[in-house]
Amino acid sequence: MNITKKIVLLGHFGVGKTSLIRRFVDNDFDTNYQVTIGVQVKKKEVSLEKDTVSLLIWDIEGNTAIEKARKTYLMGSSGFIYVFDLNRPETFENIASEMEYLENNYPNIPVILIGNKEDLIDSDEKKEYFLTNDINVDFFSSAKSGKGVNEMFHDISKKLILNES
Amino acid sequence: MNLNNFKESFFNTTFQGVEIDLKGTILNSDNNLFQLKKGDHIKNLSPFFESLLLILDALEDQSIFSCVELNINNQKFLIDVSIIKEKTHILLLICDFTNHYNESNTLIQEKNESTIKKNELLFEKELLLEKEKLKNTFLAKLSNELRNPLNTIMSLISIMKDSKVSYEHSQMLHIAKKTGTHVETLLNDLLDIGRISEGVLELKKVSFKITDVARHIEELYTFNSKNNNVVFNLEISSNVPKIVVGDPIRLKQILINLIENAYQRTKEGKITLYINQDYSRAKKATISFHIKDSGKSIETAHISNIFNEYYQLEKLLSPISGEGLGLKIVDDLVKLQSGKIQVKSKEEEEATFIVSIPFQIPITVAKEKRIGKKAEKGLYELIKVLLIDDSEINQMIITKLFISEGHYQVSLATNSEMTFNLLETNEIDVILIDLDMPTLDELQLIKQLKSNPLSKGIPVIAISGKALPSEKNVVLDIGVKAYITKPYEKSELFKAINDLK
Repeated sequence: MNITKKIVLLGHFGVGKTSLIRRFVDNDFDTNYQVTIGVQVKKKEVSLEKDTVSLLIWDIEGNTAIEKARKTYLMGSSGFIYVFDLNRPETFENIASEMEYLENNYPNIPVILIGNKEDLIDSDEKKEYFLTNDINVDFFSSAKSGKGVNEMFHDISKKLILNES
Repeated sequence: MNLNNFKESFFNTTFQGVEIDLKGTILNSDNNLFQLKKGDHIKNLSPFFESLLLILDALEDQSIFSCVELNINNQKFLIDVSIIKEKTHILLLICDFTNHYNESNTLIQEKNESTIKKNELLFEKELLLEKEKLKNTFLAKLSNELRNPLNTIMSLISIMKDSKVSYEHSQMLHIAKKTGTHVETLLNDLLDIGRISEGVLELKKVSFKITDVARHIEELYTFNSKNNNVVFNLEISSNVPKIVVGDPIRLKQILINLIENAYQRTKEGKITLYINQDYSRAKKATISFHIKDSGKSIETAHISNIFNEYYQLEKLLSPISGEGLGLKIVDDLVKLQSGKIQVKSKEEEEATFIVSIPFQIPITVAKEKRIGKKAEKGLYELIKVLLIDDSEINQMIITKLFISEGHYQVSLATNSEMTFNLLETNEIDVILIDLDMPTLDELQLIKQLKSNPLSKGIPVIAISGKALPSEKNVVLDIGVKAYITKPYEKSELFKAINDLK
């Protein structure tokens, strides 16, 4: 099956959404933080075992809550990747309500949760925090090292295929 | 240029109208911004337009996408796109607002960076506080654990000192007691550091005479001189107010710590405590305490670190130092009282520590109560004590303490059942309970004692290794008359009993 789907990366500003897309699409990384204003769309094909998914990846400006994002940016999205910064509590302290918002407003649309900037944490203590606080993180990633980046886009692609069939 | 020309020029450089069919093929374009050919596909311009076609059904008849970033021929554009859906075709109005958005970009970048930095600092502070709390809890627990065995050692030393021992053994016991007292001081210092950093150390606000505190210190260092080659001097300026409001215990702790520190550096010569009023206004007075010694000077490089906890800990761990945590406590206690501390020491010259603390002056000086001496218990009047403690060593020590005092009769219980059996068959004046028994819920037993008609009128004194005010208050709140912290002096125990009279 060959499909083309729009997905949107969500999360606070500065969590690394643009860097994750840049690593995935261009295999590049820049340590300097450059704010994203508005939206930039990039495209990349993901080859799965039997299927190919062309991802139209919407990199939108960061917001402290999904509700504050411009509605047109989210229209027609087939999947969401919610990114937070493992080192900044304000980017993950409202995750439960953010997930609930997506579930209520975008039912049956796959969502994956990413804890980014894993390279900046010096122990597994923070990861354990998420396990003990019932936050179901799908991938711990690092746009800098590339860890978890391909995996997350492959995972959302598989979920898009499942949703399609 | 007239207005119409200006408008036309602005329009032609800012807006582009494009008409596409429902599959995305370009039907018409005025090509003001981007060169698009009729028959080409709009998706070739950017993946954004490919997305639009993909989500066409989800869009309303008229939609606007603001601030869309496009990269055309390596040039970045920030555009707004207005879309009008018709039955057979779609109209796109592309507006180039690159300059406008770029200007706001700088502001947003600065705002975001500052928010991120601020939150990072807050998070780091939270982590540090959490670590500090963990460290203090550990120190408090360690301190409590060490108090029980230390109490046993100190009590045994007291008993042995009171028995007939040779001069040589008496001197050894004196050294053993001094060492034990030093360990106790260190434990108290560790607890104090924890309490101060957690903000749970409460200062008293009582009227007291600074001269009383000073004279007590003078007695301590004049008559129990630590070193015969060092003379202790007390000088009090006549401008020092007679009575102030503050915490005399913590003031004494500050001064003793600084004097102890002076004694450590001074092998011979003199140590002077000079007290002066620096400033007085509106019922407030700042009193300065100068502790000057003729001992070795303090290296300039060390002065800035002298009150640092970790510097002090380093010195404490040094095998040749053993200076303790006194200066760190002093610094904390002075700051807690909104005071200041400074050190003056030059090469080859004496060192002076100057502490300035603001005190309140009471509006009216209350008449001092004349407390008469309480009547002593008659020589043959026995005080009957029920000791509840399951430790054989503690039982032995406390019984010996009472025997040495002479007019006490002690009954021993190790559990609730024995306690109430003894209460049924004996007349008891005071109950002494150890709170560190591993197999007994002591608080539950105290509650039972306070509610049982057999015992509810009998005062209870608790002895514990737990020294935190919160731990003490829990026990006092359920009706215990006095709380003695281990290790304790014999005199503290008998004072607690005498105070019940």
